[in-house]
Amino acid sequence: MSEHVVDLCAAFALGALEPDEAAAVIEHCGRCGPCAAELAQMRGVTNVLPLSCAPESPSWALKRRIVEAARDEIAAREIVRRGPREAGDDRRRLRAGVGRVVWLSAASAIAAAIVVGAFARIDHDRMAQQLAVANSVAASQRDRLAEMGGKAAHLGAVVADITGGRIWDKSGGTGAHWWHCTVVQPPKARRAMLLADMPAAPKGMTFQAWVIRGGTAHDAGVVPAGTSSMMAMPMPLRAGDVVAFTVEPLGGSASPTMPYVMTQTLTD
Amino acid sequence: MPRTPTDDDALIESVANADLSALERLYDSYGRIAFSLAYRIVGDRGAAEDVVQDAFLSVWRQAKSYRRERGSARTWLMSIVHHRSIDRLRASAALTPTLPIDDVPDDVGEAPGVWQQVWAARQGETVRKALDALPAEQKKSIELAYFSGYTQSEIAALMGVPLGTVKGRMRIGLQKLRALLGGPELEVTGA
Repeated sequence: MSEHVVDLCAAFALGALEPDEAAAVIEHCGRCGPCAAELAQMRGVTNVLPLSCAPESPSWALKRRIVEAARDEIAAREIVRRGPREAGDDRRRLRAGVGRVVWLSAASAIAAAIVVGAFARIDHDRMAQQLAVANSVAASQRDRLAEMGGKAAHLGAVVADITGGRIWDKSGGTGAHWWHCTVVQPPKARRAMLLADMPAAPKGMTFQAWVIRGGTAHDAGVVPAGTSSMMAMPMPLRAGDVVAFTVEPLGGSASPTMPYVMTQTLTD
Repeated sequence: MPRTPTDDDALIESVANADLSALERLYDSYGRIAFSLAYRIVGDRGAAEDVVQDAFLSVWRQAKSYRRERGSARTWLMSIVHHRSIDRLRASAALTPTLPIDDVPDDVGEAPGVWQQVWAARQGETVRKALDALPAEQKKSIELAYFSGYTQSEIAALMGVPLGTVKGRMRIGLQKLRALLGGPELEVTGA
C-alpha cells in the first residue's frame, strides 16, 4: 500500500480492520514515519480502554489453575529435554515412529502425569529412563497434592485413567524444515495438549496452530518456531478434527491469513 | 522516547526465567483487570477465565520475546487478553451486523471501586468519564469495535452510515480521548 493510512490507524488500534487491511497498515507504517506516529498515538489511547471496564473479580481458583498449568509446562519441558533430545541423531527417528507421550492436563485439580510409551525401535533403557522421569513428575505432583489437603486419591484415580487418553502423532518435512506434532487428548473431556517441534519461521513471522472443526478454524495459539513446545489446545479434540499450522505475523492472527503449511487429521 | 525499565519489566524477565512466583505476582497485579476486560468482552465468567488463563500462559511461554521498548508489560498483557477475548467472541457467535443499535450495551456506569489500589480506581473512573464525555456516536463506534469485536465495515452497516463516517468517528473520538486523558499517570503515550 503506497497511500498513507492515517484514516485507518484508529480502526487498527481498535482492532476493527479486516486481516488484509491490518497487514497493509503494518506494512505501510514500517516505512512511513507520519503514519507510524499516528498509529502509535491511537494505540496509546486504546491501551487504556481496559481501565474503563467495571471491576470484576475472577474465581479464587483461577490463579491456582494458571500457576499449576505453568508448573505442568515446566515438567513437560523437562521431559522433552531429557527424553528424545538425548537420543541425538536417533531423535527424529524416535519422534517419527510410534512414540507416545501422554499428557494429562490438570483442569480440575493439579495433576499432570506423563507417560512416554512404547516404541518398537527404542531400547528398553531409554524407555525406562523416560518412564522414570514421568514417574518422578507424577510423584512430585502427588506429594504436592497431599500437602494441599489429601487429594492424592484423586490424583491416583487420574493417573489410573491415563491409558484412556488418545494420541495422534505425525511428522513431516526434511532437513531444516522437519516438524513433528503429537496431539494428546486426555480422558474425561479435558482440553487436549499439543507437543510440537517446529522448524524455523521467516523473520518477523511465527507459527500458529488451529483446530479445524466443521470447516471453522479455531485459534489454538502461537507455536514458537525452531524449538519444542507444549501447549493446551482450546478444547477437547476428537476424531475428525484437524490440527493445522500457518505462518502468521508475530503475535498471531485472529484467523488464518496464510495457507496451511502443516496439517494433522485426527483419525479414529 | 525509550521507556525506562520498570518493576513490571523485571517481573517479566523473571517470568521468562520460569519463575513461578513472578507469574503469581504478575497475576496479583493484573489478574483482576485482565478478567474485567475479558468479561466485558465475552460476557461469560467461565469463558473470561479461560481467556485470562490462556493470556497469562501465553506470557509465561513468550516472556523471552517481550520487548519493553514496544510498550509496557501491562499493555502487552492487556493486548493479549483483548485479542483472545475478541477471538473467543467471534468464534462463539459469527458476528453479523444484525444487532439493533439500541441493544448494544451502554457504558458500564459507576465502578464499585474494588480495585487493588486506589490509583487504579481513579484511572478507571477517569477513563469512563472521558468516554462519557464523547459524543454518543463516537463513543458507540469505539465501544462496538474494541469491546464487541465489530469491524469498521460492520459498524457502518450496523449504524447505517458510510464507512468514511465510521472512520472519522473512531479517529476523532480517540483523538478527543487522548486529549482528555493526557495526564501522565494514565500512560497515554505514543509508545
